[in-house]
Amino acid sequence: MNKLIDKYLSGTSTREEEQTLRRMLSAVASLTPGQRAVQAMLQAEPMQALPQWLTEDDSATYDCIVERHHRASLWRRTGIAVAASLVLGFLLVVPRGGEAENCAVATIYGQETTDEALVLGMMENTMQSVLACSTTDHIEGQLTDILNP
Amino acid sequence: MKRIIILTICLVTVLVETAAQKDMAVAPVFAGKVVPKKRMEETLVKGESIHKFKLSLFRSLKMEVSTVERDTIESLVLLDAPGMEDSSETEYEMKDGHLSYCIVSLPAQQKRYLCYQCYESRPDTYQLTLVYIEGWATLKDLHRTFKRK
Repeated sequence: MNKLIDKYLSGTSTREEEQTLRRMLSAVASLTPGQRAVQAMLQAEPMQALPQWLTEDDSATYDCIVERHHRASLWRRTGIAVAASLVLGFLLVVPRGGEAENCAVATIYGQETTDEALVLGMMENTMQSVLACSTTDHIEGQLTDILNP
Repeated sequence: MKRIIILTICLVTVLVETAAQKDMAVAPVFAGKVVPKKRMEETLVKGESIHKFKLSLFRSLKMEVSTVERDTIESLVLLDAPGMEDSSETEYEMKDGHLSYCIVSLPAQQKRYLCYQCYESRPDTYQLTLVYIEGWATLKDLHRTFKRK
C-alpha cells in the first residue's frame, strides 16, 4: 500500500491503482486498531510496510483527494472531447456545392465543365433571362393575350 | 452514465454545426433531391471572377419539370420568401395562380438573393430556373449589371 501511496503522491499512479488505493484506504479506515493488528499479522508484507498511523480522518482525506482528482480528470477529458467534436464538426461541414475558395464549374446533364469563360457566359445568360422577366416577358405576355384572344 | 453524457454532448455539437448550413427550404432542390441532377443545368461560380458583378457566390439550376415538381419547388421558394409583398428588395409576379418570377432578398449580414423563374414550355411541362446569389450588389445593381443588351 505504501508504494501505491507514494505513486499517488508523486502523480504517477494510474486510474486503476488509484481505485485500488481508495479501496484499501477505505478498508483500513473501517478497522479498529485491534483488527488492524490482526490484519497486519496475516499480511505477507512486513508490519512496517503498513500505515498503522493511518486514522479514519486521514483515509477520508485521501478519499477526497482521489475523488477530486477523478473529477478533475473527468472534466479535462470532457473538455477535450467537446473541443475535438467542435473541430471535427467544423471540418466535416461540407461547404455549399463542395467548392474551393475560387471556382467556376457548370454541370450540364451530368457533364462537367470548368471553362471559366463558358461558365461566366452561362451565368450572365441566366441572370439576364431571369431579370428580364420583370419587364419584357410580362409585356410580351400581354401582347400575346391581345393578339391571340 | 458519464460516458453517455459526454458522447451525447459530442454528437449534439457536431449535429448543431452541420445543421447550420441547411438553413434554406430550397436546399433539397440544390442537392438534387427534388429533381435529379442529371436533368439539370447547374452553374456554380465563387470567388474573384464574379467580384466585378459585386457577387461572391452564384449558383443556378435550370431544369425542365413536371407540374408536380413545379408545385413542390414553388412551395419551397415561398417558404424562403415569406412576406415578399412588403419588401422593397423583392420583385415577384404571379400567373394563373402560380409564381412565374420572383427575386427575393434573404435576411443575412451580407446581400443574399433567391431568384425564381418558371414558364410553361409545353403542356404540363415547365422550364424552371432557380438562382442563389451572395454578394454586396443591390437589386438595382443586379438589374443594371445583367441588363439584356
